[in-house]
Amino acid sequence: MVIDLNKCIGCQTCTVTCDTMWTNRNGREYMHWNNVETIPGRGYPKNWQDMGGGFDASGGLKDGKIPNMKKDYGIPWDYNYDEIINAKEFKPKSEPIWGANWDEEKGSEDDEKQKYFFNLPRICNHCSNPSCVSACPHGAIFKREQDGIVLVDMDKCQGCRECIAACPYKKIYFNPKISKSEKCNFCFPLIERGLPPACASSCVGRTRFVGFLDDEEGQVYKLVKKYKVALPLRPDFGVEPNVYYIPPFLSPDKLDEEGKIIENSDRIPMDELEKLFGQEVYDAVKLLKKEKSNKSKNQKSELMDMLIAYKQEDMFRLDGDYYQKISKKQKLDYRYLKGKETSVD
Amino acid sequence: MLIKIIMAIFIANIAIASNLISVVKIPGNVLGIKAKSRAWMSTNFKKFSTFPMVSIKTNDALANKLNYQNGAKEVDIKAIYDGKNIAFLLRWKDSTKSVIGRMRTDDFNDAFGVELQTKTDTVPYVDFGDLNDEIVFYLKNANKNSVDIEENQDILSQFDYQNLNVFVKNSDEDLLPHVKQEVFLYHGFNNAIKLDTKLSNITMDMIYKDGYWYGSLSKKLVDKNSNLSNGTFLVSFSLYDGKIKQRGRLRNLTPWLLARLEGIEGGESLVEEVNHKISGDIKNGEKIALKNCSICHNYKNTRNAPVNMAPDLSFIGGYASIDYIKESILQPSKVIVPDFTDSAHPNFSWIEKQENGKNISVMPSFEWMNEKNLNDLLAFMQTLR
Repeated sequence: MVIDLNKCIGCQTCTVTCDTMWTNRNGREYMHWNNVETIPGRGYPKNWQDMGGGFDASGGLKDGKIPNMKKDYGIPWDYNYDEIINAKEFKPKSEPIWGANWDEEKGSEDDEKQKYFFNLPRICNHCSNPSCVSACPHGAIFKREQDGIVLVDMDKCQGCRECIAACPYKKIYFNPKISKSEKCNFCFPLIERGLPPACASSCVGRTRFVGFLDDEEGQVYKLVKKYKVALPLRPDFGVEPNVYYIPPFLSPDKLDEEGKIIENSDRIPMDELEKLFGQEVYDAVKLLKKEKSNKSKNQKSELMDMLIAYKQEDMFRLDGDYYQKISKKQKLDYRYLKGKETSVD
Repeated sequence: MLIKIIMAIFIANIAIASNLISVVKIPGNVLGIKAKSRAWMSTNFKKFSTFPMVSIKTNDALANKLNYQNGAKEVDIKAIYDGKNIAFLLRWKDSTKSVIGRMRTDDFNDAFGVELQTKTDTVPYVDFGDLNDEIVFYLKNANKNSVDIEENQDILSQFDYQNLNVFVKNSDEDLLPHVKQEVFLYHGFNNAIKLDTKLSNITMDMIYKDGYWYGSLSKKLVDKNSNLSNGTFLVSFSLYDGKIKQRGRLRNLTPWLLARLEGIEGGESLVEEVNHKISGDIKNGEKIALKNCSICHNYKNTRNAPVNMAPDLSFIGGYASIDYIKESILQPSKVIVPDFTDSAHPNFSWIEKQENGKNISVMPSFEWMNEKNLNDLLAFMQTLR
């Protein structure tokens, strides 16, 4: 998946779609498999970037922390609607401590002339070198061969939560009701029918591109491999994530003290972007800016045409027949639904 | 009087050393009895030691920190049977009662487990078993009987019935799968296969009283997974302390203990194998260990090796039998336990894949060692507990 951060307005439609589809019931109420957080900000769960996990330089698992439900994820609070009819003060029933987007659009601590923020939608990265898979002591997490989706085998998971400590993005969650780990499944039942995940198809800004990374005709391949403008989030975690981001390069210019525009100034500081997307962000932003000026001069630009997102059918290059063909040759991996190795007799 | 006390201590010591649990025969039916049952009055507790399972380090920073100073812990065990069914009762001290009933993501509950052999005449690897010699593991978590997330006492309405087939079967009892006991079949490091608890026909129970946990397991002597009717069989017990985030493999574990059904002969071959002890020059053994083992293995205060280079041997003498240690030293590649995740620490893989597809251990064989030194080394390993 490629997500264009220049077009994300932080409307949370993807979050709501995902919650309605997967996580509004049965102990998953606190989870957001998809969330949109504001950068700069502490994110969801709180300070996830400092919680450890992933691999170190030598390729070994790093120790990590398991987030606390109240302090780190935050529990939604309700208001005293039934009391205000008696002229009581309108207030939350429980004290709000933290929420999924606590720092929403607060932006940096600069003054208004320099202030900046952008939105960062996050789902499970379905990594190529997943640390959750490496950490699981019961072999319960697996990466599907046919498409690389990382799933949890519910029959093997014993709820020991090593995977949560190991995931540097904290995108795997513990379901206390069934005492098992659960995570974004990339809407695999949709994918298998050639449809995009719900978060991608519901995006009002058409920010998300979905396709196979080895499909050279696909836009995902072109953005990631050909133009190299889509970059993975925090590549330093060492897990080789498969969700890529077009860095935000369309921020307005900064203002000087008199309120005049400073031409060609980066309101979003490049070192902030470098922290998130690595060194490659400099080249990517340079190319994006160049292509944008070409396009504005009415020259041809394949890259800009892709990012304008004229047709959704081009953005989602999936093939339902692909799975149909595979399932004729070999059985699809349905361990998520029913344990392949569980003996029930 | 004093002599009597000394004698009593001496006998008690022998009793601990012998690793033997006498299973007393009582009239009636013990299938389905719980920790509070009166049937337990018919026999006495016997003390055993449990040792921290530290061979593989976890990657949970907090659990590592809390378990750093964890040591051996005592557990009292008694057992009864009625000819067809058997029941175990465990009692262990735990000043912190950890019972999870509400929405928590980073808390762990107290729990206990019972491990049994699936074959009758062999000694499987304690803790994880092997493809050829599986173990069956019964786990009971101290969860509250309520998972009332919305805290309105109405649990059933909080379930989405349309989604039940994904996680639970179609009966009301199974609506709360995690409060029930679980049964796993282990054949290797990472290979725990969850079995259908209902078909295993077991009852597990946990109660907390005066700073002690009481845990019970009752089951049939002969079922699909284990045959205990042979007179003497192997059993091992695991304790989990939620306070120090113990779960999964991270726990306190007894070595293989022998349970002997009173009045039934058989299974004597196991007795010697499990009780096998070695005497030797421990000081010399320590020197040999420092010279040969400590390059890769960490144990106790000897921490020269990188953390994930090889299994930590700090409590190996506690839970492993002397024959197991000896086999590991002389023939490290004799049995390669499957499914060890080497992607966790690729630079310290414990297994080497050969061209013919067979795996071998990266540990070299120490067959060249002379008998005296090997004996002393084993005697030293025995003291690591």
